[in-house]
Amino acid sequence: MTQHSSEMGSMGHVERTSLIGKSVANKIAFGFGVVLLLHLSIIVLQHYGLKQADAGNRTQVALLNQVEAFSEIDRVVGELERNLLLFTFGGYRGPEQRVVSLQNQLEELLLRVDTMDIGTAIEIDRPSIQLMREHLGQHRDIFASAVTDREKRYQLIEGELTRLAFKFDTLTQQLVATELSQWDSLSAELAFRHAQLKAMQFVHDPDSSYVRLVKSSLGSSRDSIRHLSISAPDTSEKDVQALLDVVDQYDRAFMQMVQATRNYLHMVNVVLAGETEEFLYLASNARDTYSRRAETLAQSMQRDSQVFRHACNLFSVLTVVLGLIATWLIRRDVVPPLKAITETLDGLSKGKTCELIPGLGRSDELGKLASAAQFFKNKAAETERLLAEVTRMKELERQHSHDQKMESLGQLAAGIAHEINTPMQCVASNVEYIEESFGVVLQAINALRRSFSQNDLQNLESLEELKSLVGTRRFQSASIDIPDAVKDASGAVLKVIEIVRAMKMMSHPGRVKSTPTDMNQLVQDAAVISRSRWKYVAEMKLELEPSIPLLDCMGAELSQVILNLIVNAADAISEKRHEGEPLGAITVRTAMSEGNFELKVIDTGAGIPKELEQKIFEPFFTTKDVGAGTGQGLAICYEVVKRHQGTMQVESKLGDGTTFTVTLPTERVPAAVFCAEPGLLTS
Amino acid sequence: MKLSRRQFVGQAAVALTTGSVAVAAPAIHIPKQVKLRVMGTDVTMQEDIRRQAEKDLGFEIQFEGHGSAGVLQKASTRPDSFDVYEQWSNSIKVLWQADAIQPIEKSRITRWNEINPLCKVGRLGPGMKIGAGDAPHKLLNVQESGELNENPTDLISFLPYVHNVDSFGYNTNVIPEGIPYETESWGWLLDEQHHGKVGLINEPAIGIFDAALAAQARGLIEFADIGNLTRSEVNSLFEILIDFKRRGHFNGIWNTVPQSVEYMRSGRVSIESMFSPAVSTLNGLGIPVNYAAPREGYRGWHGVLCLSSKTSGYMRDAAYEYMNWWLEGWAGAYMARQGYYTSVPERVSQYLEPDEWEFWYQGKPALRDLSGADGRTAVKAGITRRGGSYTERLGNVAVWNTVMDSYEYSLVRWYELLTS
Repeated sequence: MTQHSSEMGSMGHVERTSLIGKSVANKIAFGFGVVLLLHLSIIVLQHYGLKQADAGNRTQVALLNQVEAFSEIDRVVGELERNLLLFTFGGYRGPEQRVVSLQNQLEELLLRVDTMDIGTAIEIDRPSIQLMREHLGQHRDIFASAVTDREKRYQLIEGELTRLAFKFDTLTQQLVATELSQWDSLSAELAFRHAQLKAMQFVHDPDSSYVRLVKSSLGSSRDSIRHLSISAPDTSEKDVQALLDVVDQYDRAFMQMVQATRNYLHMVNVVLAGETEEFLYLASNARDTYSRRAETLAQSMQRDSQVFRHACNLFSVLTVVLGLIATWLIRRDVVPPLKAITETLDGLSKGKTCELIPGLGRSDELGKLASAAQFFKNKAAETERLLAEVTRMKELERQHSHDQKMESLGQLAAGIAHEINTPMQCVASNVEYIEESFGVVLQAINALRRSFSQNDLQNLESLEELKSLVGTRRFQSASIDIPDAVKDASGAVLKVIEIVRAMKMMSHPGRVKSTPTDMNQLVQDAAVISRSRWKYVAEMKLELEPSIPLLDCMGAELSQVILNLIVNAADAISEKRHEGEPLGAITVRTAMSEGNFELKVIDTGAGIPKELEQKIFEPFFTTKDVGAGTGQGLAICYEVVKRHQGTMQVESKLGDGTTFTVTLPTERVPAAVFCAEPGLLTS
Repeated sequence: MKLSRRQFVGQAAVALTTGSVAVAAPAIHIPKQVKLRVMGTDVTMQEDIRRQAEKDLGFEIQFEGHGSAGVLQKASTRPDSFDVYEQWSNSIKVLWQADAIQPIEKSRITRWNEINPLCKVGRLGPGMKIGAGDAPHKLLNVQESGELNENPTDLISFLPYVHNVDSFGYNTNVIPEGIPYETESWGWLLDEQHHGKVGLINEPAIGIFDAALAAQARGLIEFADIGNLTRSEVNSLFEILIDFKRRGHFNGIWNTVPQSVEYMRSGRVSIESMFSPAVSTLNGLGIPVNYAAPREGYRGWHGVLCLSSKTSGYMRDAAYEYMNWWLEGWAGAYMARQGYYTSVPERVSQYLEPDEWEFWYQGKPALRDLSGADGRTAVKAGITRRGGSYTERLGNVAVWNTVMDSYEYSLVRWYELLTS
């Protein structure tokens, strides 16, 4: 259940974490990245806001400058109109010059608004400015024409018309006044005066009706003048013509004055006013546009400011919240499993058990850490198990060794029993024989004893009886065989005694410590003890070097080594040999070689395949049939030899036999300083 | 020898009487190096016309175009600056009185007899009404006294050629389409519904009639003779107009045709006094503008070709050649494609495709897309010219553009209107 819950938890965790990121580093980086990003956003936002505000301010100032410039244009145009009117109705030079000056001022103002640096945020309304320039240009042209017309009008009114009126007066006064001509003269003069009057009225109050009246009066004046030729014949044609010319000239001058008046009135009242109004409209539009833009910009800046403030606040809160969330997530998502893993690992280091490392199943570093920990935990468990197994195996090995020993002992015991049994049977048979033989002797002895007791040595019967007893074949046989039986029994007993001594020698418990040992004696004992294992399959040859010194060793263990090697040799020969075939040979040879004791056990057995030579010293390795061997013999031999800092070699030829060579140093290095790995030499 | 207009008139009259006037002789030789100076408004100062005239006539022609006021001012004060002057008939009075133009001999106008009766007698046919004000025939004939009136003589003050009727245009995206001669009215210019979106032309001799027709149509004033307003009537009219102006009714008073186009294009106005080409231009730009056919009648205008008082000799011959060229038909057809009529319709018809003729002059629906003078489609198939045929439109002239007695006074009041 616990494991299931843990897995479920892990799976759920995987789902959660997969939403955020794969690794703890990523999650932490992501969390802090978001916070950092927000923080940077605030900085950028503030920077951007300030930049925007700065740009907005600059634009605002530029817009207000434009507005101010267009207001100035408005003011100048107003001034221009005022001076234009003053010029129109007064005709003074001052207003005329001021109009030109104001036109120049407007030109400069237009240049100013056109070239004003207002940044890139807003565009100067150049088409409107161009239109205003065109209107101003028109204004200049038209005003120049109006000035011309005004001047022309002035010249006509003050000059030509006055001069002609004076000339008309002079000429009429020079006329020869007769009674008849007086009326015509007066009519001509009156008509001319009327025309003059209407002309002046036109001057002061221009109206086409006056023009008609002037022309009509001038026509009447002409008619009257022409009539003078009739009414005053004395009047020279020249004088009449002169008067008519004056009237015509007056007429033309008047019409020129009318046209000039109409022109300048039209120019000033219509064209200039129209140009000015359109100019003002454009200027006003531009000013309003810039003003609206400035207002819009101000509102926008205010809104932006609020937005930036809110955004900054929001981002700040978000930063804090996300920071807290990141911390919470780390505490929730990283710290507990990390802690659990740490505690688990700590517990593991202290020997506590744990089924599963927390955090398994996570895809992040903690998961990897947990997996690694689980791996090492498993490895540790495996090692522990192996250690237990090794311990168990060692125990098993020890047990096997013991068993093998016991088995060997059992086999040896059986053999020994057999070996003992045979002499003991011999002893028993001889004793039985002696017992049986002694009956005849005893009868003879009893017969003799009775004779002695009756003092009747002559008692024939007793003699005869004695004679018959002694003369029996049985008695004769007994007298011959009993000594032999005794001798045989004695010899058998001695054999038993020898076997027992060898056994005692091999199994002497007190000899686990190194003691000076006669290696040849060990060989001989082993051969004796194992005789029952080889005597039916092989002949034993002991080639013992007499000069072998006593070797400081654990004799019991080395006896077992020799015993094992002999038994193995017998077994190998037995594997090869068939019933009825000649016996094999086991040769045990001792020698000294280069200061070391060397023992060779040579058999003529089946031999060992090459590929198995490396394995024969491994524990539990055996080529014998199942149950025939424990596989521990040679391994134990190897261990014993190794303990004696010696080496074991095996030389074998398949089918011909095997030679085991045990080499033991005569002087061993203390175990504490011995470091050389005893080699396992094979050939 | 310099001749004054009056002297010229007198001599011409004598010469015609005696049949010995030199200029009556048809043998004309114009040196190739002649450069004829034609001054006028943008209506006819068009490059295509100039090039075609040069091609047909074989001498150089220079066009100088100005706004109405500018061209009149220059022409009236500097007659030596042009040879041929073209403008509206209402400018004739000014030019004539200013001695800026000289009489034109009818005998040198080769197609005089083909010129239709509109400018000769004031109407296209008997029984048709004659518009108020200075109908062109009233200023056409030069009398021996030097006066201009409707009594035919051998001399004329101008050569009648391009003419049309004007009204107002309105953007049908803003103002629902009206019915010609029925619901469409000058009164719309003073309709409060169009408050702040109304434009007028800045020319008292023209604009005052649009305003007067509007005020009268709305019943705000009644004129005794709309063609010759008294000072009192002018005062009353301007009081009304100034009141509207001060309340922001008008949003612009335009000086040139392109300006009127821009007013409407930009949305500054949705209804304004207009000339025909401006309406065509706007429709070409995709702005649906109807040129109204007011039930009160149109404001008529007649273009005039005048001869400078300072032009003489072969330059005058060239000027006559140029004026006669206008009556050959090509120029009339070119102007027809812009919506203008010319005084020799039959000649013009020879230079128009039948469907063009039917649309422009006969008021019939366009059978196909019709190109304007610039080659671009000016009229979509199926459209009918508002106001109908030439006869129908020119038969509905309420008033002709006129320089009234109160003209000078109206200038002052106009100033008030502009600056109020």
